[in-house]
Amino acid sequence: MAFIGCDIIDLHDKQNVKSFANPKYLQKISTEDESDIVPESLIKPAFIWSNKEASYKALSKFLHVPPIFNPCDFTINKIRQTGNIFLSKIIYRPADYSLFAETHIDDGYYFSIARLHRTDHGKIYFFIEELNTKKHENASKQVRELLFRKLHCQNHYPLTSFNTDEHSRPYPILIHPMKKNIDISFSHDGGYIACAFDS
Amino acid sequence: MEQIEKKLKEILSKYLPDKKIPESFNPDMKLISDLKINSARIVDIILDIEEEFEIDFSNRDIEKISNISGILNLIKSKTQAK
Repeated sequence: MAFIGCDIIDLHDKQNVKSFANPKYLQKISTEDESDIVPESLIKPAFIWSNKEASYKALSKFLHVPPIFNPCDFTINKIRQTGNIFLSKIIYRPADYSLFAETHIDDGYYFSIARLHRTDHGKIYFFIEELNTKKHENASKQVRELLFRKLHCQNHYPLTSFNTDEHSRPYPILIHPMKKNIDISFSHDGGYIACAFDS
Repeated sequence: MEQIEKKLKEILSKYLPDKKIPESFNPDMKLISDLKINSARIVDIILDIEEEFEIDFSNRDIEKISNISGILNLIKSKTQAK
């Protein structure tokens, strides 16, 4: 499996706009050196947060990590742009692990997918949808149902073959269509839900 | 401690999905899984606490605030150390 994690940030969410405008927010989630390598054209706190949280989610499937995400455990040390996608290398400092992320830049959101192995690029599928409920407890259910429908339509997996265990650890979620495990990661923020999975 | 808890509830309520402290509120509750606070808001909560109580959190302190009792203990120890 690929060990992937994803994170979406709604750039127009009112609280996000307020938080990301506060310079102290950026100071709490990054070092000065790290912040300097993020291009000025990007909303730095949103970019750094989505890269690091996606990395935490990916890593939590592989290593024992603290139960609460600490952005200061991660350092972004390389960024390369290809069109609307930024590729990053991220170091998990407590265990000196490298992760690789791709961040999709859109007017409405930043969406990062992180993985433990650079060679996994190309094997990952993802989708992003606008949310049609404001109730957070329904968002989690909605993204799963949407994913199952998509997998059912695209891959012909029977809907009854999926099983998710969202409470097993902080983030890892596996589904089991037929005999193959699929590594999957969900994210919800503001008006967006997103999902990334290997196949 | 009651005064700290009261102020903490005021801060947390701003970041709860329905902006209201639940009746079941208790020190064992976890911010993300129980109170359904968005993880990106944890930083906002830390900044608000620092301002309200005039204390500073270190980078490592974030790991101690996964639940309410962790936050209360941290605020108490830092305000006493001032």
